Amino acid sequence: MDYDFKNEPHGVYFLIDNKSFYASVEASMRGKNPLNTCLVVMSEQENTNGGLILATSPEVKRRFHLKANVSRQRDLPIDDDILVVPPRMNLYIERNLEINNIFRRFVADEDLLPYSIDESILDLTHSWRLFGNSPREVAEKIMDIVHEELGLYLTIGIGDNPVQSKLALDNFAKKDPSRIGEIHYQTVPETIWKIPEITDVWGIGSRTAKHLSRIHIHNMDELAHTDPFVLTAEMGLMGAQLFATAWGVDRSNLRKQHKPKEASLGNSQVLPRDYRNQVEIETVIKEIGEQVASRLRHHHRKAGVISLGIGFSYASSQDTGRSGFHKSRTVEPTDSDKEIVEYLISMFEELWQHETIRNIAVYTGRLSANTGQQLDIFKDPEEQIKEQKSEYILDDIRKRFGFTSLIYARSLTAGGTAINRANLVGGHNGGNAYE
Amino acid sequence: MNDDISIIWGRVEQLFKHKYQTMYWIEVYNDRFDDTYNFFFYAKEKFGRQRSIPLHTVKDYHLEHLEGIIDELKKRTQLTIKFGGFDKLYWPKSQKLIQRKASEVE
Repeated sequence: MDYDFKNEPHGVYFLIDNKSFYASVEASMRGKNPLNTCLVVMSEQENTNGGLILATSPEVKRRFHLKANVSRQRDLPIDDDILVVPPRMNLYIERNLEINNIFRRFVADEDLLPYSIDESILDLTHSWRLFGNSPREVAEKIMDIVHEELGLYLTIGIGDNPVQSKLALDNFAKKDPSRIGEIHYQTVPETIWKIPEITDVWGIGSRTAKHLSRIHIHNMDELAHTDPFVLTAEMGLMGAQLFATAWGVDRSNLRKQHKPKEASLGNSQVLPRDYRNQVEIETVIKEIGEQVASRLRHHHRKAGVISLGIGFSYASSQDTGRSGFHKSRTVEPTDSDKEIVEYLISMFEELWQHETIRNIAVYTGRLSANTGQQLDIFKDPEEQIKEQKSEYILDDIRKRFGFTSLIYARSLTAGGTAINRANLVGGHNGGNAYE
Repeated sequence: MNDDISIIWGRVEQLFKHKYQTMYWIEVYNDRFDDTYNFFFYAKEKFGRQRSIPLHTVKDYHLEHLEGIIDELKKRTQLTIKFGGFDKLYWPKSQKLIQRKASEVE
């Protein structure tokens, strides 16, 4: 079977990754070489059960044979050479912005797509010739500049489209001493089809791999040579998607950014211990509800749907056979602390049957622009306006002086987690999470 | 400078727990990428892991300023202070070499 690539989009795409990003930033801040220092970034928040490893430097992985995703401190050997440092999430965000600003010297804004905190996609189709004689030369130049200005090392995947660059990055660049990998339409058979483990391919996890093996597909070569109609019949749209990946085909356009149909906004947290007491649980639900409400106000949005997700502790889910519960409620659009918390508490009380819990999530959906306050005909209008004003003032004070400058006394009770979490970003040390 | 020293000192006091069989020291790195002086607190228990906790980033990038901070720190604590990234640089006031070895922090 042959594939005619003539009509597929041909461009020059780079997928750039920062090698062991958090660990490298921490090493460079300490004057150590990111590639040959044994450094581990470990979050030791109360809810991490002793310590959660966020990143390890390449040298730690090599010397102690750690997999990329060792996540618990108990898996990390105690060795004099290993340096353990706490995370600084804000610093990493700042560095990511600096790195993307360097990329902007090579591409127009619309040709740069930051993909995650340590990965960006660059469409150099229109601009690479300005910087070198080949895409590889340009990649080397970008690497040198980032190293010179920030002390960090990049890994770059080059492809004719975004998926080729992603596969080139994950499967070749990371293993190549030059830290550059390339895949082009004409090299698909000797690159993508030769990837030894099918789960090493972006987008194929263990469940998809199992599904594929049921239809006798065990590697990319077999996947590429399966009838796409059979794949679609078996797996739906994903089948067609996988077939395209096997041939290195990707028709996405970076300039046309995907907008989700429905935006949502929410927060969740793993509790530092099992919670059994209703008052304690409701304290945390109230805190998360207020955080979400505050974020809604910050984004000038009101929520038409409020959802509460509760995850039981391991023991409780063994006993009950359920892992938790989830409930959504459609409401009059609101961004009020009081209303949102009331809805959440009533949903909680309706469904909770004294299980011990470990996980709380609050999400809001059907967001609409906050065009003004809708007064309720059954309540005192003065009172309603006053209430809203006081919430905005609360936001203002927190914005200027930090979240902990003004907190509810309830957060000081045994179950409260808000004060402790106020400085966390993504659950880890570093910054104000109330924006 | 007062701000810098009070932040650094406040954190050192918090972190320096005087534990038995534990080494403590401070490292200062001359960060030429950001034009800052980065201060870190190190602790290593005899059979434990070596930890490095950020103390402060001094943004006033002048050696005179740093010398003032270090002098003040030395008055307050006897913890060893190691330097990195200051190869061949001298303190402006005392005219002493800042770091003797090529790199004290490695």
